[in-house]
Amino acid sequence: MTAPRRLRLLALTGLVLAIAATPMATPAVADEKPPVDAAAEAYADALKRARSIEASLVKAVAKVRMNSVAVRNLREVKPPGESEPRLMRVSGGSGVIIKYRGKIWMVTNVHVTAGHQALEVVTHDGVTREVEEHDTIPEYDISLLKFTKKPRKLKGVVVKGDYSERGLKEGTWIIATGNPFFLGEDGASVASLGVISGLDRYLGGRYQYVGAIQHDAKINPGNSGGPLWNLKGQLVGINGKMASTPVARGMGPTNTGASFSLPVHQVEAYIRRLVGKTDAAAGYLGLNLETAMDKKGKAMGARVKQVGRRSPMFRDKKRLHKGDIITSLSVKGRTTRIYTADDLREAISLLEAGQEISLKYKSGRKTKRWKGRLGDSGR
Amino acid sequence: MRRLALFGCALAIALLGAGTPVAAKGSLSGLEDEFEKAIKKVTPATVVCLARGVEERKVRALPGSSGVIMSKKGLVLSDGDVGIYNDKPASKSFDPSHLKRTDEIEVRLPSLKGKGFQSFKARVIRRDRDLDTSLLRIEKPPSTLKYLVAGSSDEVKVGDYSFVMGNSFGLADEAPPTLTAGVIASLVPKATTNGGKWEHIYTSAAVNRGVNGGPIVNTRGQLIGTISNVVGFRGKKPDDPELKYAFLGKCVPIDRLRDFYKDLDEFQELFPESKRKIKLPTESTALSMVFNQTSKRTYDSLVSLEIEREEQLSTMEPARGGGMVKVPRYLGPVSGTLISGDGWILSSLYNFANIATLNPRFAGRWKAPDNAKIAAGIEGIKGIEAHLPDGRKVEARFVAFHEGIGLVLIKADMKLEGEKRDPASTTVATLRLVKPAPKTAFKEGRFVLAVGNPFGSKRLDDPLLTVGMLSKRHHETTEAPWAGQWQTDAGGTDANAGGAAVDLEGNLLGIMTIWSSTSHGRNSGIAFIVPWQDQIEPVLEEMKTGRSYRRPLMGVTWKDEDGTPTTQLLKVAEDSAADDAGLEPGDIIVKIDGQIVTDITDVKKALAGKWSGDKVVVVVDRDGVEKTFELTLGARE
Repeated sequence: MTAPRRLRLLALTGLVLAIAATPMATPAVADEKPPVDAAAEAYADALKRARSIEASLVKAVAKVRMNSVAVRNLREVKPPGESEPRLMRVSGGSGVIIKYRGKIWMVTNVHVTAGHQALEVVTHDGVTREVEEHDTIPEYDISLLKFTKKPRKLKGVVVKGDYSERGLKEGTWIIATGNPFFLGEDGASVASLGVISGLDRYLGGRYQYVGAIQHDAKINPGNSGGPLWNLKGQLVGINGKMASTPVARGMGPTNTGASFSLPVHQVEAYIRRLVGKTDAAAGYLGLNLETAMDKKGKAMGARVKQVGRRSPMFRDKKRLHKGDIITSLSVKGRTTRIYTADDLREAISLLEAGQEISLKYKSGRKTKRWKGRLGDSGR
Repeated sequence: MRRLALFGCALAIALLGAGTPVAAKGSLSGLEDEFEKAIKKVTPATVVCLARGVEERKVRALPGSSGVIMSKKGLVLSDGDVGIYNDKPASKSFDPSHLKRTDEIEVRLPSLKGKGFQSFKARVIRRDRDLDTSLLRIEKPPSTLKYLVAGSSDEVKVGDYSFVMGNSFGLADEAPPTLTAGVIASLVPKATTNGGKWEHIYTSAAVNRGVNGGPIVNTRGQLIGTISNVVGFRGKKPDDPELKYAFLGKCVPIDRLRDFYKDLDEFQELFPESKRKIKLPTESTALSMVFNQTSKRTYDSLVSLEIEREEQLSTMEPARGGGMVKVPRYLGPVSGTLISGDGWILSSLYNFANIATLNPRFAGRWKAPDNAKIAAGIEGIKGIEAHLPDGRKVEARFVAFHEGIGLVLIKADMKLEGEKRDPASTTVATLRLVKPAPKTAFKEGRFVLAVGNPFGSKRLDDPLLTVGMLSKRHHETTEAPWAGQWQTDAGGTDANAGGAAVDLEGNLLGIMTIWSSTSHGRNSGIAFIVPWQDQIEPVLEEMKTGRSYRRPLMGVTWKDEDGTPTTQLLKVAEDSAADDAGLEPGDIIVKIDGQIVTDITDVKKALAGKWSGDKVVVVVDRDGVEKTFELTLGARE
């Protein structure tokens, strides 16, 4: 050890001793040392408040874990050292039990159930139950499951509400429950506390997340399809994506503190479609969009960057072109003003294939209108 | 308008929730109101800073920086890399010389209505890459510019709840910035007296690429520092002292920045004395105060262990996609918890040997602890130095490890060198031993304070602290190393493994540990608490005798019947415990130590609590004849 290090050690020791000599929560006799007592009183008061906040957390966690399930995706594989293939759990995720129109269902992600030969869920009571996939919306990563045998004692949560109704703002505490790294496969889901990091996020790619909730609760592989809750124990979203930077090559992704949930109002719309008509595909417009700004930097509409080959307007002579700016969308006589690309994406995500729509857009200095029906993505 | 509506709703909910117009004592809604007020201040003042006058693809190749508006006149604080771009984004091989910086900056301000953003021209007026700071000036600031009031970083304490905001992963290029929350995890004191008390502030709030330059604020929404980066392993040697803060967010304290820009009058005006010492709001202060004082008290029983080894621990681990991967590893000093005044210390096996790795690729099976690796890790220890809470350094010796619960027991020699003392009075004067928590203290959702001491000889005033909740309890019968342990989302790291996990009152829940270096710890939010009452107390006395626990093994394979194993032996491994005792394939085990066994669960139950090396009496049915054997349980090699 070098000399300066030793010097520093001594200085710090002095400080440590000084701190240790200051009583913190030691119960002191009131009339002997009034200043010490004030500090102890302040701590006692703080502890009481902290405990009360903790009690709200405990209550919420107990409530929400009842409806959180582990999803097991089973496939026939040949285990090492065995000659015959067996039905085994090769991947999995999380899910949530919901009650919709008086019936019990489960919601998870399409990327959790993808490629399954059989599906099971493990409920909070530790019981493994057979389930089947009712239907999916692959574009928006939503899968609706139902129990093969009617379950008893499972209540399910209500799927409704929006950001404001559920009290969601940046900084609101939320709880994520699920099955990260299969650690919740005994049915007891893993709970994690976080805050809302941002609302109305858009994530493109194979699975589109429109109007997504970003949060910093600890999410890992296996949390997919699992629920996000507010502290009242209400469902606010379905976890599905996370931003990740691998720590080292070959190591899989783990939590980074940037995770994304499908918001409950979107989930509700998707479920309504899945429960109502099982054959309805998601509406597809097939436009590559970006937000257009005016000179003052105010969002004014969704600018078309490209018209996709699968777009319903691709063969239409009167279609939109690159650079056109969409400013409003009309469906069944109801007009929605479009300010950003996400506004349009969110509106389209709630519609079904075949739905007639009308788009008002600016092409150069002219204002035009396109009328047509939504297609489907063919997935 | 939408924001207004939101606010109205929130207020109504808060009032209803509390029942009366005044928030109840210690109420969640009160806390959330405080959060909302703070966030309202920081959101409009957080900006995105990108290089200007450079091709977009060169700018987009990197996440850019965040920044914080400091004054109405358009002063913006950001990080030292502001204006960075990749001059050759198409180049496949990355070369640091491709990175260029410009002083021409585009400052993007999210529109308050959540739709789009405003863009301003700005220039860097000063930049310092060592301190990781820069000061920008917006050329034509609008009159509506919102700015953040500077607080005092000297007043900050470990455990303070804080918010970080910025353009995480470039997600806020066109949307409001990302908010994350956490506690102040560690405060590093400055060697010199000028420029505030702290060299750096580390936070447990998630910090990702792009957040650098953004603000960290207290619960009143006052600026206490700017974000430098997230501490990572990349480009660092295993003995880099900063690795003890791995995966925490590193911040530059505002008082240090104030000193750095002291010749700029315009900047100095931003620190009105009256506003700097304002009391923080009630509920969040209560939380922060409890986190701070409880963790500090716990710190008084934490030691820091420096392990001298013949050679470094291997860092190769099985990779997710097969093969091996080199895992970044922290080499210490590591945390230890002093459990008695005469020098018994518990620490995590994770830091002493390479242990189990979860391999979720195939059927989620965990790979059992590798005994050879554990043995190599333990045998490689040449010496251990323990840095005690009172600042003394003493010799310590390794006593035993427990493969089942993942802990090591160490004994420190509490006597000072050459000191002649009455052996009875060996307790440390300042020591405050942690008190075990009652079983009722464990409940999912309760707060967990993970307290660590990775500081070695440079013991700081404050511990390394992360806060989370009890995530779940893993049942004893779980076939995994964490059976019977509690899982927590309090950031478990290499540096706090071996430290104490305590509840709000400071009662010891257990010892922090990690089971896998690829998927636990780090920033994953998966760490385990070895519960004191359930797992440590029952084995402690045996371990004190120097006996290490290894999973007991009979060395037999059970015969399957319709997929479920029976108690009939299919195979007996050569030279195994069963072989040595004389057991043969075909034997049906009927009794172990007097307990009747009919299925594999009974066998497990009968063997629970046994250590390898223990003797058990086994009664078997061999061709209808009962025979008794004495078996010395072995261990996996």
